[in-house]
Amino acid sequence: MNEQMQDPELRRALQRLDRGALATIDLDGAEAALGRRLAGEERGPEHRPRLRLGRRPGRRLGVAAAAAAVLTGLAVVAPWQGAIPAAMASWTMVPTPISAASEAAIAERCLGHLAASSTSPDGAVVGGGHFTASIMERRGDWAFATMSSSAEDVMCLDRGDWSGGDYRAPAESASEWGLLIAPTSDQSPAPDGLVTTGIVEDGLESGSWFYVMGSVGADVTGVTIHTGGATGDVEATVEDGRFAAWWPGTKDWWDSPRAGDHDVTLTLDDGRRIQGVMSDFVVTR
Amino acid sequence: MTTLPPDEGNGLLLNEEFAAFFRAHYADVVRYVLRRVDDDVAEDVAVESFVVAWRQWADLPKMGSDVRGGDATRAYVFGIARRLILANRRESARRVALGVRLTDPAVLQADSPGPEDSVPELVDLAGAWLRLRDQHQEALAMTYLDDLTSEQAGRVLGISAVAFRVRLTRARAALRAQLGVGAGSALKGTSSRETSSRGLRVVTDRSGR
Repeated sequence: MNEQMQDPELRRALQRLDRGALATIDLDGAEAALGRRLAGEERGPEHRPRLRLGRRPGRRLGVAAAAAAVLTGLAVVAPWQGAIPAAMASWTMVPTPISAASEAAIAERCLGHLAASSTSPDGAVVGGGHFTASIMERRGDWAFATMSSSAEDVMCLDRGDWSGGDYRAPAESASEWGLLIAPTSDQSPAPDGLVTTGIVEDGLESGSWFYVMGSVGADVTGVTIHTGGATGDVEATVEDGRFAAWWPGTKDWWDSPRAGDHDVTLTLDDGRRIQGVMSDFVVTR
Repeated sequence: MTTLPPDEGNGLLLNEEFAAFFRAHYADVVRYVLRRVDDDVAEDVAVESFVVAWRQWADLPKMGSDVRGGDATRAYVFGIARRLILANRRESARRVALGVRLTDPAVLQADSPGPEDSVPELVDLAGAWLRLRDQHQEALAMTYLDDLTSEQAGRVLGISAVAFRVRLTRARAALRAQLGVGAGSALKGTSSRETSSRGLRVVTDRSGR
């Protein structure tokens, strides 16, 4: 396949391979079948698909965009049970406090990654203008930063050298970092909710990492993502109405499909806790 | 014309409306299902999807101003079909994404390909497709085969249009990667695996690796 394959070519090629195009439609027969079904003619249970339309119980946390009219009943949570990649073995469920000097160094490093990545081979440019670092945290050897402009959010993961206590950029041979740039949500969270484009998985050389960022309502003081498996309950950093967290995935992430749901607990300033579900790429209920 | 049971709300008018809706979209729903299940159950699932749609027909206007007309309605039935398929599979496989199957290119080779078709390229594409995660297959198929907009696809999946665009961007990146695209980035020390002005962009550094 041509490396320069563009959308129209991909569409045409996929349509050539489309199983749906092979369908022979017997509309009259289908109408008759529908009529029988609606008239109450029962088929054997072995032929009847079972329908589950129930929404998952729990409180709505907020959605990144317009609420979907039809929500899938994604009641099955399949937390990842694999081992944490060795390079991320130092990762911790709760972030370690860092100094102002480390925060400044992490911000500078990640903004540098962003600047260096602002032009890509196909000419795309990071379009959000001036970025400001917000949340910065440390989990094991890894520094994590979020940056935002008026149009885009950026999450940056960078392996650091913490041998002196504060963050320093590692030697080139040990350098490993990743950026994710996503459109900023134009939604505002409820006082006791959050808004995010969801949990995203991406891969570094060492393995995959999950990350999430977004906004929290004024009453929210804590966000805990229950990832299951080896990564357990991940405590997000919550600061100034924003939240962010990351956790390791697996070494062989590319070939390891998994469910994207994660249970989430929001802690409010009055001590109450709200349970919800955050899905891969989206918050649902 | 199908004889549908009377509707307690709008009577015959609604029945005619539903019958027209069925005739307009049944073929698309069969094709949607056929991309995801075996041939012998595709029509059963499609018909059952309309049965469910009929049960909810009176409530559809409450779900959105455009749900009972045009492509939005078609997407709505796709969503029903998707849940039926997932519900059927749930006992044996815990999945939240529906993989999409393509035709074996060997079948195409036996046919008479058009002048612009390249079977070897289709073989590459089919092979790359098989290596994709279900979630990526689903996002690509909804856009390029099911012909859904991001808003409609998001409705089918129960996610926002923004979230679907993110998912599609990643799926396209994954397919390109499986096709061997992405190497040789002009970015020194980095591999820009996806760029998109409307969605998600990922940059990872691999220097020193």
